[in-house]
Amino acid sequence: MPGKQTIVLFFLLNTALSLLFSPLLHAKAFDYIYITASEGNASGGHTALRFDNETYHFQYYAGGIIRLVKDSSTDFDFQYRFLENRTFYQATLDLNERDYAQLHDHFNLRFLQQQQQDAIRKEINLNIELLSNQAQHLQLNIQGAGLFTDNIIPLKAESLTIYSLQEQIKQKYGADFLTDSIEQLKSEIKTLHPEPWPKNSLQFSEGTFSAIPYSFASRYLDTVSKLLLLEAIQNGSYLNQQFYFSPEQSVFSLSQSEITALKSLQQLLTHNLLTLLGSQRPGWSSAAFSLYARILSLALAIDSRKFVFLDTFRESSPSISYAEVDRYKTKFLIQKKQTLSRITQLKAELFTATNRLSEKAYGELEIHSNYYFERERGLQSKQGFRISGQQLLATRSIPLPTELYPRLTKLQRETSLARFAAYQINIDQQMQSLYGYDLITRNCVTEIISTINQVHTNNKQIKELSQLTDKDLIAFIPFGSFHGLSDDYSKQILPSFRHQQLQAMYREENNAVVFFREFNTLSASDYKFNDQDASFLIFTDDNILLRPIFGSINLLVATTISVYGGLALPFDSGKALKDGTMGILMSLPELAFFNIRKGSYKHLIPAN
Amino acid sequence: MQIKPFLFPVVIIISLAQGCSFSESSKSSSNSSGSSSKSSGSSSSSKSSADTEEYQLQVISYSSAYLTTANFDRVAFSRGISQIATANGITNWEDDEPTMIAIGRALKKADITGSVYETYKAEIANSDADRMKLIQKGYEMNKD
Repeated sequence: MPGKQTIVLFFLLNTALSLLFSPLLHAKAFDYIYITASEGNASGGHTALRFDNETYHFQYYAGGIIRLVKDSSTDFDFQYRFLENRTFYQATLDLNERDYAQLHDHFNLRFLQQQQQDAIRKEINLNIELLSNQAQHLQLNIQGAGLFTDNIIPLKAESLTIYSLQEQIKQKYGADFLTDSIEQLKSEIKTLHPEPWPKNSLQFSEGTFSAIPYSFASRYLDTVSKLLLLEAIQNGSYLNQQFYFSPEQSVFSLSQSEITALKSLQQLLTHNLLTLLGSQRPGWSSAAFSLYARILSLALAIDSRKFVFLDTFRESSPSISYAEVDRYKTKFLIQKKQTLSRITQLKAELFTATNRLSEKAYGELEIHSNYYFERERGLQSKQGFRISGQQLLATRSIPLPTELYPRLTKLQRETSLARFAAYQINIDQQMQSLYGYDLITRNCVTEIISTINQVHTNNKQIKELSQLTDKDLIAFIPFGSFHGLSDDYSKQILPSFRHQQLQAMYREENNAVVFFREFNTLSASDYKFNDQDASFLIFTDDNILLRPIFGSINLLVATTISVYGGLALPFDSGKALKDGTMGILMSLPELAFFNIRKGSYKHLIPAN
Repeated sequence: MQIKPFLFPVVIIISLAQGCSFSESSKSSSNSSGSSSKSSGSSSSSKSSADTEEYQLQVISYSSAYLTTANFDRVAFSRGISQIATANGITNWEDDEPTMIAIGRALKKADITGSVYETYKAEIANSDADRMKLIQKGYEMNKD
């Protein structure tokens, strides 16, 4: 039997060793990714740094600046590896938990700092637009106010809910709350005027996290938004029928227990709305508009015993024409079917006896239903539809009403405009100086390396990585940087969408059949001529030896299209000529065994 | 990556022609993916807790960056939180437990202590006792 002293000694030793080596025991991997070249987007390839489910990369922006972007790793893969069909070369390095966290936090901080700087620039533009009375600009809209109208015959369920809400407001804040608050806001609007910003909010540096000033324009729009919200509640405005829907399928019917759950959610949301009406925080009214709309849509759902969802698509959501819908019909039908099945599953999970339905969970169901219904409606009625852009909250907006434009003197307006114009010039100069793109010295590789270089660490591997562009002459080019990585990294290739498809086909079918079907764009299984690709006939990204021969054929095709484009110039605004010229440019490197063009894809099903 | 050395000059010339990826509004990562990241087959409870953790990490990131490097201003700070909350489908974040806990965790991560911590806590919670309790709870969780 070991003595008590021995046990204590063993325990202490064990603890000390654990503390000493625990960071090494909990190693975490981060990835350096080289993304192969692509037509018209990044002929030199691209690079990114991946921390588990977050991927950081530097992108070129209009105005000649390069900015840090953070994407979810799933979205990044889907965009680059699937839709853009580009192969990833991934190098993985294990770091101890502390160094990993330090590196990750540093990238995240840089991202947030840049995001704040962008927001300040946006805030300046907002003020310029408001002061110039450019009320048609998207930024000057009152978010959420567009969900309501006074010009319809109300449904009984809505009327009752609005009445109940008005009564609860009276109970909580007093009988005259709405009237008094509206009058107060009307007076407040008249007193608002632009003021100079603190100097420090306009001083950018790479390491500064600048607070965004609550400027005149934001205050003004927030106050107008509150005013319109309170008026909508006081006047008993109803949901605009254009912005809600109730799908027919049986999965959208509600059982008694589901109705009870929705009633409970409606109570929770009403409580939240009542709280927001008394909130001191700025800009709560757009959230309150969304809440009010959801409370009414729930009333309609409870009354009709069928889900009634708000249209949660962003107003700037990208949409496609019916010609494109028809072209990719099979894919959309599969997407629709898969989403309906996901909705069924989600509904079953959310409406359980033990689960209290939350605002966010309901929002998830609403997002899926929007995605489904948009496809269902487009396919049924043979019309184009919005392809993405659903949000967790509905935010349909209206332009700032002309009668509510700021009433400033001419002098006030001109002085303020001049001041904001000067701010804008100042900020643009700083942005250009801090983030100006340069092909060799400040690109997507050099920025990753210099950001790593800013981390104060003793970790040998991080230090080595931070010196990559100093040591290797071609490391400023994405593939060169990957080539220059040390052997400490475990490297792997993550094939592009087409290569994955080909691998599967070669496994399952006759190789010759697959080759002759898939080597060209006319008979390839999944590829349809994407308007983002210049015309080409033969894929060359998987045929290195045959590349110059295939490239010559592509060159011939592109030249023919260019000649045709020259003749068709008066009729197609130069589209074919541009297409052919780009085709020639993309074919020339193929003659020298180099491939840029991959052929991109659209509307893939994420599960692929 | 098997590029012959004699081809390097060609590769470099071509690579130099255009570098890196550029941002364009139509090239959003959500383009066509629709509900890609929201269509996982994970169970509702595990997905919900992962979503909450993800949301809390966003709040912690923003709050700790703000509290570490910027002068505290309640209005400016709140606007940032409101933006994150709304994007995550949360309308009344001041009474939302995960949000307040995340702010408490951020105060700890930013190493805000003593009377400064008490002042920030009271200001963010608008001196509401329940909200302050939640911030304290997050502060004492001792994880970032």
